[in-house]
Amino acid sequence: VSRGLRWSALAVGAAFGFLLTASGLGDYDTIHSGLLLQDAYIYLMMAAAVGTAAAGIAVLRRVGRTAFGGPLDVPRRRPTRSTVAGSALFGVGFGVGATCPGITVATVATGGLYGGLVLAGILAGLWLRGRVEQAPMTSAELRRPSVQRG
Amino acid sequence: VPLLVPLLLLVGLAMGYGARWAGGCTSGHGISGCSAGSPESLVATGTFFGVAVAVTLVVHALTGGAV
Repeated sequence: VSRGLRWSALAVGAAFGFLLTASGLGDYDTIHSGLLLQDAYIYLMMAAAVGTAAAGIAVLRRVGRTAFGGPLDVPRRRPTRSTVAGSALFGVGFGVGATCPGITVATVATGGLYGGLVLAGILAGLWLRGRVEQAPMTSAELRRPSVQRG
Repeated sequence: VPLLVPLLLLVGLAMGYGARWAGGCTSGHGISGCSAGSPESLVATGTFFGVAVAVTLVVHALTGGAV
């Protein structure tokens, strides 16, 4: 990892964390009222973020490379069963907790125990899924070439 | 309140496990992937927002509007 990449990653992370908090997205009620469909704020925020990022990616595509990370690599993938299953499970946590991983990391600094507990769960979940993906396939799965893991 | 601790750990567990399974979360799929026009990310984002809204509305109804 080059020095430029390290410092730019730190700057981007600091800006992201600051904006997540300053925009109110770190507040339970902001996310909760959005998911209750009582307030469009979080959806407008997502749209603004996607629009800004899309403009940035369009510029980067012309340039063809990133400032510090080497050649530009923007993957476009087809959805798999894992995409839907994983996202559905993610959505349950997202709905019940009214928080997502990025917001959770930001609220560890501002939200006390709530963010810390959710973050502990996230780390456990990431580890657990890693274990499942590393586990050797059963003989039944090996006989079925259509079975996808990961 | 004592129930809140295991509940929040389970919330995190679902998000961590689900995000790794799906290959991304609200930032990775929702912002980065969607802005790059990746079909996988569009499906993922639609799925987790749809499920989150459904779960929130169901919990809201079951708790009589308390949550």
